[in-house]
Amino acid sequence: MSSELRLLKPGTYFMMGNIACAEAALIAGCEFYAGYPITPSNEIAEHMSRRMPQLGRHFIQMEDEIGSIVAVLGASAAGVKAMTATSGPGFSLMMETIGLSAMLELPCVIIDVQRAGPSTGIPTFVGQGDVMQARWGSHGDYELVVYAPSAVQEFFDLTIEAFNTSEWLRIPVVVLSDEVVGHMYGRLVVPEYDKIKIVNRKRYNGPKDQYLPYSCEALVPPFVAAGDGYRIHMTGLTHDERGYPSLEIEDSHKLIDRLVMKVRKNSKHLWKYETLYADDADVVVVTFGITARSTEEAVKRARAEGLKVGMIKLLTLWPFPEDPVKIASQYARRLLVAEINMGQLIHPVREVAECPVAGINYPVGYAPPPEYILDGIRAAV
Amino acid sequence: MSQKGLVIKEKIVSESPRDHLIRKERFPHIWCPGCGLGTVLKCYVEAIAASSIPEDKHVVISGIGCTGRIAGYVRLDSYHVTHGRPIAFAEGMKIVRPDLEVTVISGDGDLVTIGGNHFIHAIRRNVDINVFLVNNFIYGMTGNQMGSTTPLGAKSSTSPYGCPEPPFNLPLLAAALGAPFVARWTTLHTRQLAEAMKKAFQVKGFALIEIISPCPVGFGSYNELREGKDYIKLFLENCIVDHSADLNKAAISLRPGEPIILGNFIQREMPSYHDFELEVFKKAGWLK
Amino acid sequence: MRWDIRWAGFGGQGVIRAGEILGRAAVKQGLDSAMRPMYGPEKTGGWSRADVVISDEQIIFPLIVNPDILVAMSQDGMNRDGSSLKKDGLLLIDGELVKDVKCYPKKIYSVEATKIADSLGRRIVANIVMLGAFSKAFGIVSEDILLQTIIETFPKAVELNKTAFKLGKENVREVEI
Ligand SMILES: Cc1ncc(C[n+]2csc(CCOP(=O)(O)OP(=O)(O)O)c2C)c(N)n1
Ligand code: SF4
Ligand SMILES: [Mg+2]
Repeated sequence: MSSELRLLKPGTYFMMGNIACAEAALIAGCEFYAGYPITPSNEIAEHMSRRMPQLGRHFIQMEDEIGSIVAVLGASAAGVKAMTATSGPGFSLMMETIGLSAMLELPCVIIDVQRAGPSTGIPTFVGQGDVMQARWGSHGDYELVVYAPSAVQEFFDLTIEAFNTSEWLRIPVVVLSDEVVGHMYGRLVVPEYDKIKIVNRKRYNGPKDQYLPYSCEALVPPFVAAGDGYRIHMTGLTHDERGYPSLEIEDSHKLIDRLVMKVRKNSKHLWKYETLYADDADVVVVTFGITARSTEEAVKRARAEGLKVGMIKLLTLWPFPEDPVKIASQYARRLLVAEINMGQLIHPVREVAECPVAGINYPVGYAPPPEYILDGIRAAV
Repeated sequence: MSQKGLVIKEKIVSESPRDHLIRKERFPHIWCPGCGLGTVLKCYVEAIAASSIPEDKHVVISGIGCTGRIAGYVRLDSYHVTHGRPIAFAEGMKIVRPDLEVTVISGDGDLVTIGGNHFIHAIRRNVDINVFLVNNFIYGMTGNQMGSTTPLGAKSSTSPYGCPEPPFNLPLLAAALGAPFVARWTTLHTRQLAEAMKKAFQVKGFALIEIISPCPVGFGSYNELREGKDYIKLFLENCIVDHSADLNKAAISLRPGEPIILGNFIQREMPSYHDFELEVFKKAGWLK
Repeated sequence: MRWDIRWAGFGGQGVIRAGEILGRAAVKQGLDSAMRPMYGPEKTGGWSRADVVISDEQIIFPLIVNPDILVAMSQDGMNRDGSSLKKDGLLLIDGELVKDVKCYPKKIYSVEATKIADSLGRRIVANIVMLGAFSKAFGIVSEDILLQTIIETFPKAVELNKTAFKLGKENVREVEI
């Protein structure tokens, strides 16, 4: 068998972020990809169109992003891991269906390679303007998980993590990448497969007459797929534990509470972040994605200048990692939030911070150079 | 369920041999008296019972609307998704599980107005699913607004002066897109409808049945078809069965003297999406 | 030690491929590397740029503001990116295509990469000629590993690329400023 017909072998590579993401999805066990062309996510679809059939898996280019994510849910309902990838305009089209994924509790992974917006914006330039949309974009109460990579390696790791989390909690999971991380080539280390954790959704195989598809006994009910013989019913309408539409307020409360709590109660497990010099810092910069790379450089230079500065790089954006930010704010005099937008992540930071918070905002479509962040830091110190 | 509709409790008279295919615990259903959807449901379960495919392999997917509720009443694996999207959902499912017999039952507004793009592309790809499209000429559930199947001049809650746009001619559209099976029946033609459904299960590729269905409380109340029997009269007097009809003339106007043409119009063999995908698997080296 | 290397040219010259090969060779050698491809909106013939960072430590900021080395494969690339070169930076040009040097490097190296590629009958190997010249002029990545990476990238045209690389090495000259 040619090496193309296998998963990417453990080893060290120099690879584009988008391609590392696609290879990670293959390793995570993604069996179905549906997407619609959009810059700067195209390399993911292109790579999947070549690789998925080599492994006997399915790739389809749909007529739009709505069709793409809906088809992903159809595949997920049949019991397989499935994903789509897009950027701003397509991500906007997917919002209604993200709610459906949350409501039916059908796992799916959505990659958003952010570009400069709003609207068509600048397709080939970077942006970080989808932070709030990723969290709040669909109507009604639901929770999901959003990861944000700042390097090729993290894009790879977090894509696998996204599948795992999505399968574990039966929720939509977004990997909020960006144009620079997507297009950049970087070092990628693929570990031995037995070192890579792979999670598969818990399946029900008990007696048919006792199956409650939306049982509230556990936060995450076990799953049955189409064709398993359980005659399941799933509906986007508010439903009871049998999955039947219900107008009972009590059923609604139970359902919504569970949809929200399965993420909230697991927040601490879901938070991923890294801190640097945050312990003794007067000023701590909270940031994510490509901006974290500029910030780290800026923080190191600031330290060299004798400024007491630290940073928190968030790898999980939602659920928002409250504790590390709160703790940092109890020691620091000021928190700064660096992002390529006019101020989005700053809001949850403000919500938990016990010291003043200011933004370092860079809306122009490039990754901010370290000097720009450093100026912001100097002004704050 | 129209806002004007009454919900009446239907008494279940006796056990039927098809009861195990119905989620009776969900009755009373939401449909109005005189509505054709109960008949569509009945024909579907009859067709399933008569098909050689195991019941556990049948899956039904609906979108949103009065018709969309069908998925919730059938005791099969059943999915009630968002408005306009059941075909895309069905495609994802069928592609990963070719052994399932995936049927979409949904409304005209759902499938060809908001969901029109998925409809045309699924036919073009020839994905092996069955689409039973219930055409009641109206958005029933939301209160009888016109849609892309409302005949020119017909009244509705958003076309008080008569619908200003011509409707789709769905059999012509589907045939032009290359569907291997295209039929149209009314809810009065239950035997033919159930037979057509059975055929649809056998078809390799996309099978479309347009089902003309009464909506006396909604569309009918605006267009002199206020009761079930008005529709029966319409169907009896105006329908022509012509399997080899010229589909260019199959548009529905509901004007006197312009018949509703019914039949199993298209039945042809052609490669399905699954066949195309197997070719890809070969070229990629996965299959010999 | 960190090297910021910017390759500039137009689409079709293989600028981005050259950047990718250089970065991959560096990673093979145990260094860290990041490469950022960029191009103009035109499908062909628009500008293109590969920003390659190579470092013996883990790279923190992966992008380039002012490169240490500029490789200009076209006059347009020079016009666009010349001014970004760091003071006292190093410059490598395609001597035939770049006539007007719009920056103040410490040293200028020149090779007629496109002409040499043409002489081999395949203009598309101009980027490999340039990599040969780069290797001779600046080192940074081991020549063997670089050549090995080129061979692995183009397994169907090994001899052609070996020759292009060799001619690049042999023909690069330091230019008097
Ligand atoms: C995105 C979206 N827009 C609008 C609606 C409201 N809506 C619910 S049902 C429906 C129309 C259904 O019409 P049709 O598909 O013809 O079904 P019928 O009720 O006539 O059977 C609409 C517009 C919705 N649920 N979702
Ligand atoms: S389709 Fe018409 S008659 Fe049937 S339930 Fe809906 S509104 Fe009532
Ligand atoms: Mg309708």
